[in-house]
Parts: sequence; C-alpha cells; structure tokens
Amino acid sequence: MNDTAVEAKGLYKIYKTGGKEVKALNGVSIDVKYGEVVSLLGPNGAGKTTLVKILATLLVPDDGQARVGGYDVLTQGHKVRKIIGYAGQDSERSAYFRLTARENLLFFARAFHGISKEEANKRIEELAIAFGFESKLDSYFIALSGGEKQTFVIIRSLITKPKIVFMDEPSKSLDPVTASRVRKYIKEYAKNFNAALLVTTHNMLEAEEISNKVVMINKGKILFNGTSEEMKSFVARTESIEIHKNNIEEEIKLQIMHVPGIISAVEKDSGISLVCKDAYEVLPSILSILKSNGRRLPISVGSTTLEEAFKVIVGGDKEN
Amino acid sequence: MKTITRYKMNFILEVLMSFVWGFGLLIFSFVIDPARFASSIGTNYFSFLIVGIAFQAYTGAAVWGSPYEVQSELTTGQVEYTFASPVKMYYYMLSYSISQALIGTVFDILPMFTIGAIFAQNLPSLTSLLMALFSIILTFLVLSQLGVIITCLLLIFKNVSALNSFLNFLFQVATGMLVPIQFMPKELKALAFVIPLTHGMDLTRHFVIGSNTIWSIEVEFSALVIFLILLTLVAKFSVSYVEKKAKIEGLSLA
Repeated sequence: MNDTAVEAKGLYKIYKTGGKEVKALNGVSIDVKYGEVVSLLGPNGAGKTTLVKILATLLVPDDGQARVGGYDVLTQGHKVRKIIGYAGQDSERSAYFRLTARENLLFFARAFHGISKEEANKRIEELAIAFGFESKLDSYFIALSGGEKQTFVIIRSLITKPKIVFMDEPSKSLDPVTASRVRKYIKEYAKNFNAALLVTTHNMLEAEEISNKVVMINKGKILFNGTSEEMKSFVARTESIEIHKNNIEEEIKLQIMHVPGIISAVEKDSGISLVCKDAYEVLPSILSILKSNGRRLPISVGSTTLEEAFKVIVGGDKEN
Repeated sequence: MKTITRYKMNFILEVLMSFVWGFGLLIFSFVIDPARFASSIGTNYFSFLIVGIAFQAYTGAAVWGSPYEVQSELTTGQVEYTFASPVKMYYYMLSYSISQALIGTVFDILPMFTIGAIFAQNLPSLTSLLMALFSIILTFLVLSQLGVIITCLLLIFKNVSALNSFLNFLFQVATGMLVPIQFMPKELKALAFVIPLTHGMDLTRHFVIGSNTIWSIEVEFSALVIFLILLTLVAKFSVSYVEKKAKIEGLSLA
C-alpha cells in the first residue's frame, strides 16, 4: 500500500468576491503519510481552510491535483468522502439542537455513514471517555457550551474510525484540559490506527506537541514544510536582530531587508525585527548600511523562539 | 421524529389539536345537509375536507420540506458536514420531504382520519380510498422533485422564500384548488394542465367525492407519471449542477 495518504500538487484557488480576486492558494503542494499528524500553521486568511476544504472535496481547485487515500478529489469525490473524517471550522452549531449529543452522533453515524447502531454506540462510548464527554452525551445539543459543541464536532469526525482526518482548528474554544485530551488523542489515534491527520491551528505549542510535520502557510504559499525536528533545528539555528528605532527611512529599511543572509524581516512599533541564520555574519553589512546613511541606532542580537519565528516568518512574508 | 416528540407538552397539544380539528370538521360536515351535499358532489363532506387537508399537508411537505431544512443547515453550517459525508445529495434532499410527510401522516392525518373512520357516515369505499392514496403518493413524489429543485435554487441564491408566495398563488389559482378548471379560459386551462398538482387534486377528488375528472383518468395518471420522469431528471441535473457550483464558490450563506 502506498504510504502517502494525502498528496496535493500545485494547488491554486482564487475567490471572486465583489469584483475582486483573492488568491487563497498559490501553488500549494503538500503530502501527509499514514501514521502522521501534519499541522498546518498560518495567520487568518492564509489559505489553511481552503486547502482543507479542497482535500475534503468541499471545494475544487482552479488548478493543481490532489489525491486522498489514492482517490482523486475532483473525479472520485464520493470515494474520498467515504474514507475521511471532517471537523470543519465554525461547525459548533452543525447538529440538531433538539436532539441529545448521543442521538445526534447516532444519527450521523447511521444515516450518513451507514454504521450499525451497536458499532456506533460502542464508538460513541469510547470517544466520549477519551474526551471526558461522558456526562454530556445525554444533554441536548442546544444546552452544550461552545467548547462542548466543539468536542462533539471532533468526536463526530472520528466516529467512523477514518484512516484520514481533516480538522480545521479543532482546539478552538476548548478549555485547556479538553484541548490537552484532544491533542493526546490525535497523537495516539494517528499512531494506533496508522491514520493520517491534517490539522490546522494557530497554536504553535499544539503544533509542536502533536505533529510529525509542520507546514507554515501564508497568502496561499507554503513558507516552511518539514518535520517538527527540522523546524526546531531551523529555529534553533535562527537568530534575530532587532534594530530599535521607529521611523527608519524606507530606503534604509529596504537596503537592510535585502542584505544577503536575512531570512525575513518585519516592521514593529519599536523598530525592525530581522531573522537570519547567523547574526554575526550579516551584522557587518547592516552596520555598513546604517553608517553610510549616517545613522547610529541601538541594535540587539538574540535567538528566536518557535512562536517568534512563526510570527517573524509570516510577518516578514507580509512585509515582502 | 424525536425532535417532534421531545417536548412533551407541545407534542401532546399537537396531537390533541389534530383530534380537535377532526371533531371540528366532523361537526362542520354534519351541519352541511348530507343529502344536499351528496346530490351535488357525490359523498359526505367530511371525506372532502380530510382529503383536502391531507393534500395540503403533503404538498407543503413535498415542496417545502427540503428547502426549509437545508436553509436551516446553511445557517448552522451543518450543510458543510453533509457535503463532506458520503451521502447522495439528491436522496438527502428528498429524505427531508419524505420525513416531513411521515411526521404529518402520524401526527396530523391519522388522528383526523381516525375520527372520520369512527364517527363519519358514508365514507368512501376502501378501493376509492386506496386509489386516492395512490394519487396522493404519486403527486407527492412529483412535487418532491420540485422540492429538490427549489433546494438547489436555495443553495445557489441563498434565499428563495419569495418562491413560497409565488407557488402558493399558482397552486391556489391555477390548479382548480379554489376555482374550478372547467370555468377557466383555455390559456389558464393549459397552464393548469402543466402543473402536476392539478392532476393529483383532480384524481383525489374523483376517488373520494366522486366528482368528474377534468381530463380522463388515464390522461391524468399518465401526465403525473410523465411529470415524475421529467422533474426527476431536472432535479438530478440541478443537484449535480449545484454540487459543482458549491465546490467552486463554497457553501456559505454569503
């Protein structure tokens, strides 16, 4: 069996709204292997949800190809939908309010996926225990809190024991204890069932905790794609240079941002933040630019954290 | 069904009201001079009323059962989960009409019919009732294709509630519901012919109250079968078109 569960190549998607075109995906390629959790990181509007929706057959790309479980998402959508689990963003109202959580789960499992009542009940109990949801199973859906509804959505996506799961910001609105349970379960699920999970998140720590691979996306482009270890190593080898001065002339800023060795740059209220692999290697060039422009500004050098690296990389992409 | 029986007080009142309606209609039918009624349109008035109400309920379920539920799912976001599930959209939309019809049968029609069966006089024969039921089911199937098409329009245009008023007007004016077709000008008569409800209602009235049909029974049944085939094809094409369109533009209410 091919060990690649999800494979996307050169995906493009443009939305046309109000006479304007918004490029949601700009040549995105990604792959997720069985037994792997891949976190898709990026700011709002980066293209994460669009990518997940294309893979879940909810949207068609303008160009590019994608296969899920070996099936083409464009021509074999029904087969794809049979093997995936899907927990969409803003889905926390997507059930029958007048039914209990258990009745809703039973209904979706039986009517939408054709699972027997016994099997569905067994699975509901298993998942409810895993997520600490047992006491809420017989509550009306309308009476659940936002976080409980989100837990319901996650449970629903896993009820068929799918080999491929797409979750769009699953930990959104979850309390820390439930979020931790969800992270633990996702990690174990991929391992125990040899399942592939693509999870979008804003939470760097979550991505670090659950993922075998992290993909950073912004403005529809992949900025980083590698294992958690590669990312840690990438970040560990990354240093930051802060130039503490606002109102730096545009011309000087542009010269600094284009110094060889600078990975990304972002303008902050307090100055400019630059990410590079070796600060001492690029500092002479920066000092030379400042000196030639007659500026003597306070500069500091430090190492970037994972979260800062994300902000700087994504922010730098925004700037550039 | 559970969503109907969930709130006990409301459920009891709903069923109770069906019986109250049944008794109300029964009393009304007794007030009307049975002999006079029978001489003009064939049998007792209770049958006429209960079939009329059943027809109205099934028409509503067939045409609006699916659009209303999908409109609600668009609002809650559930439609996205449905589209990501391995359900055939055509059957999914059709199932809403059928479930609404079943709910209507159990909680509205059966209680009223029970009152009629126990207390009313001169009920139609079993054969006539079965033929009427067959006409209703056939018309329901035809109209539920229309329900699927309206659901597709809803998914394209996001709000089609104005169609409700338009179709109600059309159904009431041009199907013989309120104005006998026989008295209509030939243009309106032609319009009436191409509305499936006309044939369904005409056939049902014929079997229940013995009225003469506008066209022959064979022509009316054939018309319903042809409408069923044509509208099923249009409905399936619409679903396929909407699925493609939704996947290009997304499934939001915006």
